[in-house]
Amino acid sequence: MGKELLKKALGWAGKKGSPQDRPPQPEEKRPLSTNWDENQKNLREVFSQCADAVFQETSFNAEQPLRILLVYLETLTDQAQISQTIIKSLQQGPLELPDEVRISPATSPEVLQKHVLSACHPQTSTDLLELTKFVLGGNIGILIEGSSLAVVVPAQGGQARPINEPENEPNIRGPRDGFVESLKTNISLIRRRLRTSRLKVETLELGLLTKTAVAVCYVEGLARPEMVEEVRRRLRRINVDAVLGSGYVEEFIADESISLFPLILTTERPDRVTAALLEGRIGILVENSPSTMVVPCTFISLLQASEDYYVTAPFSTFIRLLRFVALNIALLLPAVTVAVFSFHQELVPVTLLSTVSNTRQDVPFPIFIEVLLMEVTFELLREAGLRLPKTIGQAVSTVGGLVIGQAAVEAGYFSPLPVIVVALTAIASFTAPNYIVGTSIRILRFFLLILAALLGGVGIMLGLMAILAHLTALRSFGIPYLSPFAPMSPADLKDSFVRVPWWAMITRPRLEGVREPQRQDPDQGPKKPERSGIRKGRRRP
Amino acid sequence: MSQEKISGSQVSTVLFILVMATGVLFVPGITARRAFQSAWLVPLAIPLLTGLISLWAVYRLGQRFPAKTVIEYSPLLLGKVLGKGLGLLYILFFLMTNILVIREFSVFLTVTLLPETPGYVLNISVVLLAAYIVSKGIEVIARMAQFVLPLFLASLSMLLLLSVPEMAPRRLLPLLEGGFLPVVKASLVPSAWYGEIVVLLLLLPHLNKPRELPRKGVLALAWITVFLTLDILATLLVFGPYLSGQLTFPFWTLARFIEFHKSFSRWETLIVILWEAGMILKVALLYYAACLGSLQWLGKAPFGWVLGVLGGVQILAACYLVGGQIQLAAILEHVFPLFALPFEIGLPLFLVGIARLRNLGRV
Repeated sequence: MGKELLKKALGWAGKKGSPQDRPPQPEEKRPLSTNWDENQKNLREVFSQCADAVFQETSFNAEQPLRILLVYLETLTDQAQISQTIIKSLQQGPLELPDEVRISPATSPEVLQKHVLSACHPQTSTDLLELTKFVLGGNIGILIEGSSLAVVVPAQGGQARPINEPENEPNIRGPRDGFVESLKTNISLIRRRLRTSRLKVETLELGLLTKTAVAVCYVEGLARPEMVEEVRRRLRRINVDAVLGSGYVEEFIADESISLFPLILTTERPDRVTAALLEGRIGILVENSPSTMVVPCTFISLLQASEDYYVTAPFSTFIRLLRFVALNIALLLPAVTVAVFSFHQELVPVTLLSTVSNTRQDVPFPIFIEVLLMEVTFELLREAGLRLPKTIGQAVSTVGGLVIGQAAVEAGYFSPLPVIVVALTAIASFTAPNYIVGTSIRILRFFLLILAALLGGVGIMLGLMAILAHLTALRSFGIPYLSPFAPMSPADLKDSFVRVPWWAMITRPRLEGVREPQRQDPDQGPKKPERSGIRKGRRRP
Repeated sequence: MSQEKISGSQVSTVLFILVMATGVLFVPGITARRAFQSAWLVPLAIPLLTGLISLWAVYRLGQRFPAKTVIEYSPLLLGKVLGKGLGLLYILFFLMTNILVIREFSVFLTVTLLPETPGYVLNISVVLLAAYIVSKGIEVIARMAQFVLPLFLASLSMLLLLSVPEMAPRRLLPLLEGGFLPVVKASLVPSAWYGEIVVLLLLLPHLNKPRELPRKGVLALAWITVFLTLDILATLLVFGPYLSGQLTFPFWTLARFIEFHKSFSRWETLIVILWEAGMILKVALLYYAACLGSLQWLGKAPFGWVLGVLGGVQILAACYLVGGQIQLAAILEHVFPLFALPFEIGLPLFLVGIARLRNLGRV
């Protein structure tokens, strides 16, 4: 019933939003005619009021010069390539052609394709709408007098961001490159790491207006075919007018309509995506979006950073455990503080309790209100710092941290305890390697805080059990979210809270990489030399 | 709901938590009242046997009617009217047991942690949470059990270990004073607890490998016996038989006695909160059994409605039918075993007998 209401509220069930009302997608064809002027007129009509569309008339230097028209969008093409390569070759014309080639209106497209512009890998098109599509994709359309065949030359260009280290996922020892907005560059970053033909990249187009390219990457033989098919199916099902980022796609293909936890892993690191592909997972790249999706996603993978695989195994294990502790602090500390100081004072050592109650003597609010107000204040500061320009952001942190925190305590409105609690919580929440899981924790923190205020520790446990039920019920592309813990698969614990050394990572995760379970040969670990000639004073054999 | 599968080790975990979640609190006091210093011998004999017989009966029935629950095969065995009646009785049994468990939950928390919170708040919150868990299905219950088990065991073991300094072996003497009779008399209540594994009558079709059931079931029963015995033993060793018998929650009182360094002298709050997780799961499991049974009994009924109606019934009954701590303890000691044991051991054996006589189902 709740779902129905929600649907009504969002207008899905009403007449307005029914699928029939969507305008049918034009599938008609408009073949090009042999009349050059008519083709030209039609094209100009298609691109009317498009200031960046360029119509450049020139001629093909045949025995009897043919008029030709170059159509392209200057915003999407490489100007230098056009002027230096294409126009030059066209005007040089037949000079370098073999003798048997004759140029007439009928053969000219073929001549262009095979001889004059062969270095640019041109294609041909017979349809006006198809030609339009090509031009919108950053190609140059060439209309030749007297021919109903247009030649299309790829000349993609335009400004692109250089490859940088991703700001959200910095790294100390691993590679520094991060995904950018260009899909081609992103695929190349993966391909450079996986030089095998088994890395498959399938592309499709999403968005009626945006025509965003989406690529599905997987390693053949590692990814389960049915899972790849499921990804394809869910992607094809999407029918929207615009896709402006991977977040749009993510909400369409996730398993649950609404979940507090991310069901798809997003990362900007190509090494992370490659590692996931090697475990049998599937990468989904979206044009114009540096954040790349990886499915299936498990909860534990949100607590792992790619850095963990480049530092030594014991340290990595330590860091992972630390992160888990931090996660618990970020989730529970405010709630536990409220529960302990308003319900279970007996848990606090006596000296600490007397210190705290001394500081709280003149404070007007109960501890729940104090912690809640402080938490809200912190969330405000955090959001303000995030959205403001960086220089002002620092001022916000000064005002927030020092002025509000200290002044409120000194004036006696708040006791120092909630300030300390909120600061600790904040620091702990910054350790989350995945920003999205941090947001889930932030919401749940308030949920638990309220439960703690109502029922103390009992309330916290009720809340935790609800969260646990939610988490255990989640699945990401069919894989239980809490695997390898529940359902338990002991062999996969080697890469969970602990990370074993690389020579011990013999098998792939059971659920994802089931088709080729062995990753590497066993027993490759470093061994002490059996006979150490130096130590025992013997000569080497 | 029916495609969900749980593994053998998950079944063991679920059964362990099912019996121990409340058994650990109520059984020591009740057994000590009847069997005095021999109370720790009680779980080793008749209750364990009850559990094993019950397990055997359920397993035999499961062999004859694979992929069917008691609600589905009892009409085949007893005819439509009687069979449906039996099914209804089983649903009511799970419902009543769960109402008692909900009340155990709220009474225990009121006594220990939240003296000023009205019982109905706790009843309502645990039923709502259990409803949420049930709506997620048996797989979720089983996986949650896997998470809760380590916490539960950790708190139990910690408690047992830290109470060692307070123990005095002379409190167990004289052993078997008054012969075996007190031990037998005291077996009734723990037997009813062991018999709760009869919930398998409804869970059996969800097992991914039903053949594993005897092994995993016995494993669960063995661990239950180990921990229940240790639990009673620790209570007796610290408090002696008479004090143990007078306390409602002797094991909790034990938790209040222990301390670890001067700064942390009050462990019982933490331990109670960890036990709470187990009790929530127990409520969810019995709720699930009642819900699944009702769905199958009614044929086609919307899941949400069944869940809601049963939830409402349980909340109301827990608030109005069962009184306070004293009444609950009396019900658990005197009424519950007589009410539960027929369902837990009598009827399953009866059904096995009928199936064998009429030669029904797969042999």
